[in-house]
This record gives sequence, structure tokens and C-alpha cells, in this order.
Amino acid sequence: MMNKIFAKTVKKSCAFILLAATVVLLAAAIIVSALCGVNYGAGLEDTTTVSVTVNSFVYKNEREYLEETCESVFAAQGVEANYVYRSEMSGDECELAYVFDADTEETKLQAVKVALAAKLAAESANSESELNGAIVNVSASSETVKSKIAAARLWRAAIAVAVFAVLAFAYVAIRHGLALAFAALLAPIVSTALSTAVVLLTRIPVTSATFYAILVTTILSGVFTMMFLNKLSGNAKADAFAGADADTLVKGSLSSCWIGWTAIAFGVALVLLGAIATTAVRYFAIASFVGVVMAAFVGLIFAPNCALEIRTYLDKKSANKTASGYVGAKKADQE
Amino acid sequence: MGKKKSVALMVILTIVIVALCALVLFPSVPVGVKDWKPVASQYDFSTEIDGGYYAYYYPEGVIPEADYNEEKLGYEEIRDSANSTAKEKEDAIDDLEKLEKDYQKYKGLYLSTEDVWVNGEVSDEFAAGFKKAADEIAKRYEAKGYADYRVAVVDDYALRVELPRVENNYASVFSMFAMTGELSITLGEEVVEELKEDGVKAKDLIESFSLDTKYDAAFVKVKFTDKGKAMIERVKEELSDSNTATTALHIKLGEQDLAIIYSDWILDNNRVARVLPYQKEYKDAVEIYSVLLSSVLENEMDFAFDTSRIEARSFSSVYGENTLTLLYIALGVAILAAIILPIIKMGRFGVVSVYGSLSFLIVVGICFKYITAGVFELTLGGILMFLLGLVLINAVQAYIYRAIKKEFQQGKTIASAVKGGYKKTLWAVVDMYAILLLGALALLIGVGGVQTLAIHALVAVVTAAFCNLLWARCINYVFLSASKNQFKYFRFVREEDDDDDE
Repeated sequence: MMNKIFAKTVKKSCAFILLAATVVLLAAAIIVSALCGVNYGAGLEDTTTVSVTVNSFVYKNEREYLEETCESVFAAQGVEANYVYRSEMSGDECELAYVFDADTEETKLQAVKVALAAKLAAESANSESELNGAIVNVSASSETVKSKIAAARLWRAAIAVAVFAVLAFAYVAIRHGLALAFAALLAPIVSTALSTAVVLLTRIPVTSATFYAILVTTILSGVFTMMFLNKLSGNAKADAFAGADADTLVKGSLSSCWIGWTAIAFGVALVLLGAIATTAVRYFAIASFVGVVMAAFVGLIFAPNCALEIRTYLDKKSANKTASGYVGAKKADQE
Repeated sequence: MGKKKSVALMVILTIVIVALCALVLFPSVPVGVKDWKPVASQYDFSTEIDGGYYAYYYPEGVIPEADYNEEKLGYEEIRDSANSTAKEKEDAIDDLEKLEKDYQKYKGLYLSTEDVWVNGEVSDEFAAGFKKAADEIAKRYEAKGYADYRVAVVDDYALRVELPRVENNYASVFSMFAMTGELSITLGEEVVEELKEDGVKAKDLIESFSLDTKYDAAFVKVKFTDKGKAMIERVKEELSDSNTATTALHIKLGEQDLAIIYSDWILDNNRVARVLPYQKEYKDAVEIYSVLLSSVLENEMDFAFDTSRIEARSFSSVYGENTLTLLYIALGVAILAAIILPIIKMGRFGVVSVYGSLSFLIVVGICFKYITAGVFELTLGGILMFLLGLVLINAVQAYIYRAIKKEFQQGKTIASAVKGGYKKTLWAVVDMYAILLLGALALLIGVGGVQTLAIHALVAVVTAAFCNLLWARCINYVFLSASKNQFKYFRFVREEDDDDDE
């Protein structure tokens, strides 16, 4: 039944339309990112911070109360921290660094800092308080990340994708012939482009892990394409498809069931990962899910349409050769 | 294979797999095995999962607000204390005035009014120097090849750097990567003659520094220019060998000795020297020197950071200390699904899938720890590859099951159907894993985290291929031989059996 559904998406000239759509989508993503900036995730985004340094005795014994006190001050000031660095040092000093959005106003930040410093000083002086005697310092600062995904890393990753495409092309060319190898060449490139475009356009927070998700699912798209091309190549030699036209051959070779269920299984595993784990893993799982969907799209729709164009061209070429009556010298001698 | 042998082999296989799973996953047994730590608890994870280390870099003439306030508070306490003598109070007042005069507040920092804050603003020279130094330091961390690190500018004129927990030499990295200055070469205590000439720098004598290994040693390879070669030829006879160490060539950064060249370490017709030799297991530590020396060779800077203020701090995952636990729970649920679903869908043939999945878990779990230990941290990319491998193993088993079922439905015997099913799916599975392997190899071109991902991908792909192409087949053969009813094993029903029932 899945084959019947996806067979409807296999049409002449559809491959060119899909390629054009991929280019347009990627261009749109680049323009949007250039205009609005890339939505970087934690670790890569610029931030403002309020740091509370405290002696290690208080940190180890009263950290929970300290954090509650800080959060109550933030709530009173109308701000909320995105996350917090809890750190220890080898000396006597420990630090809680609350991270806020980069666009938090300087005046607001200073007001938070002053209010927090006053509250903690009062707690430290209060003999009834859990923080009595604590040596506390509060400071506010802004951070601009220098090490966002380096251009060199991006270039090398792009080259890796290109090399993978070429290797897949060579492998399929050896296994199933040069013509079908073009589908294997385009599949990883289209998958990478689509995954990147969707992640950027939907503003999924980008971290270095997002990068890995796109690369892994690019390889997956190569696997899905290979499964389809295997079946196509097998069917082309089978008696059941002897004399069949390109359309019938390609539609009869769809591996929708296997590709579909594998993609669904992987997708469910990622949904599970995202649902149970914390925010860091959640955004990564979402980006991976997008990648799996794109890989399945390439295996189920793009690669068959590509193969249809290739088979149609091959059939036309073969028909022209037969119609012209041309027979090669070798064959003529044999006859 | 006879039934008894098959059953015995099945039992042994099961015991071994269960024991290895326990080794990888479960906490220590209280009695007898005291230091048992499961492999899964020993991974080095990336910072987003398991935190890491960080430090602040303050340039000379810049101090953090916390330190300024602490010093000010100290003076105020002496000034206001009833126990202080008049002289002490007077000194404290003077010190306080000097402190307030010497420093100007700028965001969360205090800038020295001597050479940083000049004429009511930050001096251009300082700003330009800081920018150049910050860029260079970011390049050093990038050159070290971490999958995961962070360099951020704090309040325009300080730096905050983060490293993953896998970096055991974090203290050395933090302090050494902050070093700046001019590289010089001395013979004993005296700068070499060549560097005394006008306009001649270390870069005119040394072409490059690079990390190299030979046999069981890791070292920094120094390659000399023609001028540097001439210098070596001139001084070589004065140099002692590494056993006596009386006179040597010193490569210094400012006053700090970074490397020493002895006569027996000079090779290749005085063109190359091997310095800082350590055992290969310390290659990572040697790489720190290599990156620093390469950096200062290309970029000499007057700008300096106050290395006495560099203090390494450890931090846990910013998304909470439960990040790792929840991740393990999620993966545990996925593994449980990989165990239960094949049995539901494929009956006893699904048990083969389960054994394959558990074998994959064991091998990948151990390889991820011990092949990449201390070198590559386990990132979310590596975890994704593990999940992909787990899904593919079961997907391929399902594909093989369908093929066997199709063969059986054509009227073949179970044995023929199994043989035919495996034969018909062999090349498809080989092709699939070939593509995966090519993808993993292509990823080796990447740097930093992509290379880490490539190593994890290679481990996962090779293991999954072994499990599907060889291991699961062997297990299936053993289980099938031990099975009483081969039809029930595969959940196959012949149409004739239905007719007979009627």
C-alpha cells in the first residue's frame, strides 16, 4: 500500500522540479539567516550573565537555598535565566553564573545585580539565615562568543559531504552502472541542502550537535537511495519487468515499506530521546528528526524521480539506436 | 548441528551476552567486585551533556569587579576597624585612594588608568591589541581540534574559555594558551647572534613547529629555514647531548623556556630538531606545546594576559545535573524497544535480532570507551550513530525475515527458504553497509567534532555490519537447530496445514 502511495509521486520532470525547489529553499534559508542571523543554541549564542561567587563551604552546604534566593530576586525583577553554570574551583571560590538573553537591557541587568547583591549581603549579615557569614560577590557582564562554528569546520564538512557523494557515485557506478550512479551522487547533496534549509528556516537552535545530526542523516539518505537502486537494478534484469517501460519499472521498484518503516523507527527513537531528555538533547533530537524526514524524502521520492529521468533517457537512447538500424561493427561481424 | 549441541551453545551465548551487558551497563555488585565501574559510567561526554572546565583571561591592566571589590573591602575593613593602629588606618586610606585612582569601572571590569583607560576612554592601542590577542587565542583552541569548546569575549576586554571534560590537561591548556610575547632562541643564557641582527625574528630561523610521533614517542618537530640551518651548523659543536645538558639551545617565549634543543636531537643534516619528547600516551600534552609554538611563531604580540589570575573551574551540564541520567533513560527505552518489538513481530526469529542488538550494544559500548578514551569525547553525534546502528540492525533483520517468508510462500522447505532468503538479501545488505562505511570514511575529512563523529561512525558501522552479515546468521543457525518446531520458530503457516485443520 505504501508503494502505491509513493508511486503517485513519481512523475516525469518531477526530479528537476524537486532539484529547483531544493535550491530555492536553501537560498531562502541563507537569505533569512543573513538578514535575521542564525538562531544559535546554548554555548554558541551571545549572552548576558549575572555571576554570584561564594565561598566553597556555603556552596557545598547551602547551594539550593542560595539558588532559590537568586531566583526569587530574578522573579521580583521580572527576568528569568535561560540556564545556569554551576562551577567549582580548586581554591575557596565557587560560582553560579546565570545566563540571560543577549538583548537584556544593560539598565535591567545592573538593577538585577544591585538587587541581588543587596539581598545576599542582607542574608550574609543575618544570623538566622542559612547564608550567614557567606562571602559573596555579585557581578554582571555580557559575552560575545568568538568560536561560533568556524568557517574552516563548515567548509571541511561540506567537502566531506561532496566526497561522500562522489564515493557513493563510484560505488553505484561499479555495482549498477554509470547511469543510476547519478541518483546516488545527487541524493546526499539534496538531503544535506534540505536538512540545512529546514533547520535554518524553522529557527531550530543551532549548536555543533545540529551539524552532526545533518551529517549522519545525509549518510542515511545514501543508504535509502542505495536500497531503492538495488531493487531497481534487480527488477531491470527480472523476467517480470522484461519489456516494461521506465515508469512501470521505477514504480514497481519502490522500497517504500522498508525505507518508510526504518525512517519511522528511527524517528520514534528520536522523539523518545527528545521527550525524555533535557533541552540540550531535545533540540538535537528535533534537528535529527528533520534530517531523517529529509533522508526518507530523498529515498522515497527524489531518488525514484531521478531514476525515472535516467531510465527514460536510456530507453529513448536505446529506442533511437534500434530505429536507426545501426549495428556496431563487432555485432555485424558476429551476425 | 545436533539439538543438544545447539542448546548448549545457546545457553553459553546467552550467559556471555548477559555478563557483557552487565559489564557495560550495570552498577557495581556490592559483594566481591568492589571496584566494578560499568563502561557506560566512564565515558567522556561533550560539555552540553556532562559539563567541563572554564577559565577567565584578564589582560594586564584589567581586573574583574569581584577582585576589585574584595581588595577595596579589605582596605575599608582596616580603615574602619577599632583594632587598627593609626598608621594602619592611614595606610589603608592611602591604598584605597590609590586603588580608586588607578582603576576605572567599565561594565563588569576595572581598567587601569595608567595604560588602558586613557583620556576618558579605552586606548586604541589596548583595544587593537586585545582584538588581535583574542582572535589568536580563539585560533589556538580551534587548532587543538576540540570537538567542543567555547571562547567568548566578556565585557569587551576579557575572555572566557571552556573545554570539555575529556581534556585532562585543562590547567596546562588554560595557562599555556594565554601566553603571548616574542619567540627567541638562546644558546645557554645568551640570545643567538642571528637574532641580534636588525629586523631578524625567530620566524626567519624556524620555518615551522609540528606534532610528530615515532615508535613510542611523541615530540614537537622543529623545521629550520636556511638561515636557521646555518645557525645550527655554527653552534652544534658547542651543544651538549641530552645526557649531559650543559649547553643547549633554548626556545623561549619572553622569559619562559618552552623547549630545549640538544645536539643529539638535531637530524636531517641540521634541518630538523625533535624537542619535548614524551611517551606516546602523552601526545595530547605535547600537542599543547606544538599549537602554542606554531601560534607564537606566526603571531608575535606585545599584548599580555595576567596569567596569575587564570583559575580553572569545573562546571556541570548547564541543562541540569540530570542531563546524563535522562539521556541514559531515553537510550534504555530505545534498547528495550529494540528487544521487545522484534520478538512481537518475528517470533523466535526476533530473538536473533535481540541477540544482535545486545551484541551491538556491548561491542560499541566498549569500543566507544576504549578506542577513543581520553582523545575523543562522546558527543550527541556519536549517540545518534549508536541509535542508527541499533535501528538498522533490526531493520535489516526484518528485511531478511520478509525475504525468507516470501521464499517459504513459494512452497520451499524451511531450510531452503532460509538459504534462499539470506542469499537474495546478501548484496542489498552489503551495499547498505558499504555506503555507510564510505560515509564514515568521508567524514574523516572533517575537523574537530566531525572527525570524532567519523571515528564513532566507523565503530558503529563495522559492528552493525558484523552483527547483520555474520553474527546474527550464526545465532540463527544455532537457534534453528535447537528449535523443536521450525514453522513456529518463524511463525510460518503452510496453506496445506490450514486445509488439513479444516
